[in-house]
Amino acid sequence: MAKIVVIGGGWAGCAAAITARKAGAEVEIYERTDMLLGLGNVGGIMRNNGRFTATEESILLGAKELFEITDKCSRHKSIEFPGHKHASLYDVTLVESKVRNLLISLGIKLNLENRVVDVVKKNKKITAIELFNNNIVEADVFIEATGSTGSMGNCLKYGNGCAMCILRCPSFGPRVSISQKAGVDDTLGQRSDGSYGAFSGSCKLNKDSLSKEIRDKLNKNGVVILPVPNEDINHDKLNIKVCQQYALKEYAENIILLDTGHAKLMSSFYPLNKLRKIPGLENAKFEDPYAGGVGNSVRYLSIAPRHNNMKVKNIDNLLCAGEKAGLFVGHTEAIATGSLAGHNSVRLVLGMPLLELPRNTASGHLIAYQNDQIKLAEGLKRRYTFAGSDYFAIMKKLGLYTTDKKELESKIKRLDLLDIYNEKLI
Amino acid sequence: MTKKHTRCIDVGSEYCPCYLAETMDCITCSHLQDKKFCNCSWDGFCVYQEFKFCGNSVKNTRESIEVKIVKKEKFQKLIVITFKAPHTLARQLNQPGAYIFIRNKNMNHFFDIPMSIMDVDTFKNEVKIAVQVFGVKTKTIQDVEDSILVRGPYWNGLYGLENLKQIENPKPLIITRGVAQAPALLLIKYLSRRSENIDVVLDIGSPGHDFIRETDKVRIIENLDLFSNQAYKKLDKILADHSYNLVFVGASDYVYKQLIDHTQNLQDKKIITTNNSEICCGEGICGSCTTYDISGIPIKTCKTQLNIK
Repeated sequence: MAKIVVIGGGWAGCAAAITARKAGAEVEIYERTDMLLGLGNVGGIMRNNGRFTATEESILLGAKELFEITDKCSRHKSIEFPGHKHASLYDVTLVESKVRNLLISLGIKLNLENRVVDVVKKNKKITAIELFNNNIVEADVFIEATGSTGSMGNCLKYGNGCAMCILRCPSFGPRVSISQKAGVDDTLGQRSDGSYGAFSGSCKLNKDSLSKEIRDKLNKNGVVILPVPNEDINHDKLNIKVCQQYALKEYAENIILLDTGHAKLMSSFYPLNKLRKIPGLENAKFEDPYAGGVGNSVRYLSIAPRHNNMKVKNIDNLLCAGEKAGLFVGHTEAIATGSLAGHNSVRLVLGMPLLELPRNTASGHLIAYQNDQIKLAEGLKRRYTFAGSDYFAIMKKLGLYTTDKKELESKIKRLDLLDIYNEKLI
Repeated sequence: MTKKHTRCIDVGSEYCPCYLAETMDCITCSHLQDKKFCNCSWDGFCVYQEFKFCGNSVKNTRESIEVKIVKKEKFQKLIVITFKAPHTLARQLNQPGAYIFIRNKNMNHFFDIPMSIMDVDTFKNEVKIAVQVFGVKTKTIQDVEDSILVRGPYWNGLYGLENLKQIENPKPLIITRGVAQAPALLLIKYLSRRSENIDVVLDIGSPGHDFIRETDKVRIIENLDLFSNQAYKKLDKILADHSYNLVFVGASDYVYKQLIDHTQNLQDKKIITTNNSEICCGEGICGSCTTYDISGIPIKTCKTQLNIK
């Protein structure tokens, strides 16, 4: 039987594990922390703008399981906030255990608190990974979904230091770039000024620390917009964040809160004394990162060069997904790339041609477009997400954006890709 | 791939970051080796973070202090000194592998001698060491009477400390020769808290003194000459007959290699050995203790834990 090892249990790793399992492989996930989903534990925004299309498309391709969970856990559906339409907000306090149970029920072996630190390589093939405790784990194909964020030294060098985010590097040890360990140099995202990395784009406030009025409004509408005092407006802060889809002037001039269980504050970080000047936030406390008043995690420091079928270049049996696979933003993007990598991992074991999603699908186009752009100096400074920034405009221009599920279904059928991830290959 | 030998004994201590961080030669942190990204072996502590928080400078440095000698005993070529230490230093030295530098206060720093700690009384704040008078530096210790200069604490006197930390229900065998009985005693003290039976194979070696008898926590099961072939056969049998899971070898590198080569039953045991390098500054600076791994990468053994096998 084919054995696939997924390194990293975030959204991308979970998605990869599911499609690899459905294609018939024995699948194990190695995750360094004690929870799956990684930054997905502080995320929540789904189906906004082009993500709606990508979500429905992934479901048609056969990767419905994780979207079913995020839909089911949504506290709010089809809401609007500046620059974004028909968004769903999943409850971050519920979603992880549901994903965990799903993976276990599918027969995927979870190895939490098992940090991968190195690879064993023979020629251009990885034969095994090495764990923190020197244990060696062999497999036929490996999928790297370790993300591109942290660790402490990087967050300090390229950010404001460890802000104690959900990734909890000091407790569980930092992310290790598996592709780099295997001899393939990482690519690095840049900010507009050319410096490396970008700050995560939002924080979480403890909802109970907000005024009753704001809390009630959040619970009811999912979104609260509060004006920032004039003297504290800082448009420059938009340049440092990863989520260019939220780098709009409204996000500098207002505090935008979204209800994802906690109150998601759409700003990389926000000095606590300034935050507390805003009526209703006098007692505000950060939930993630704990030091959200001074900084946030720094991302895009570790991207593997890859083909459009998600295989890492110059290594025979390593695929990648999520942020590891490009300057992607968001859970939908992670699940879309992860699902493809997982499916292709089994094809790779079997010696089948790897699936490349056509460019007239939203996911196929995003994956290929990002790969074209990352080779350009300016492309390294952009982010690629269905949800906004330049890419959503491209989607619209190419006619890739639609909320018409019937239209999408006939397209996926026409491309002969309907339920392709549900095909058992072994 | 990851360098396997990069565990610095000082990481996370009050002496980290050290001078090596300032010169971009840190044993642990890739940023402090002038590289662009994180690639450390992660010991639960970010050296880079600490370095930045210290204003890009070294934290504390160890300086020589004058301490009062409370007892000086002579056994042929051995001098056993008990000195009074500040309580913090005594506490810091009360762990296996601890060592200090000692010096006759009338001499300059070239005469600093690395010395294993034999015992510590943290109530009386007394520290005991055994000096084998052997060469240029140790000869200067013969004259000390009332006080002596001490610099410390240092901790890398033993290799395999990870084995000591990780092992559950230790069943130890202590193999020790000559003056290596001194670090063995501190190890025995540590192990006796977790293990009721500690067996010792003793070779009193050239100093000709049995320190082990000073402790009632062990059972000497054999006296051997560790330079003889018969000793290896006997040790192999001892290891085969008992279910030891942790073996301490306190002897020269030559003896250790002979043991590894000739004692089959040692292969699967967790091992702790003495660090026999020519330690001179203890700070990873002077280079006298440098050894090389199989790929030719230099290792500063005064601070770095090695995979001794």
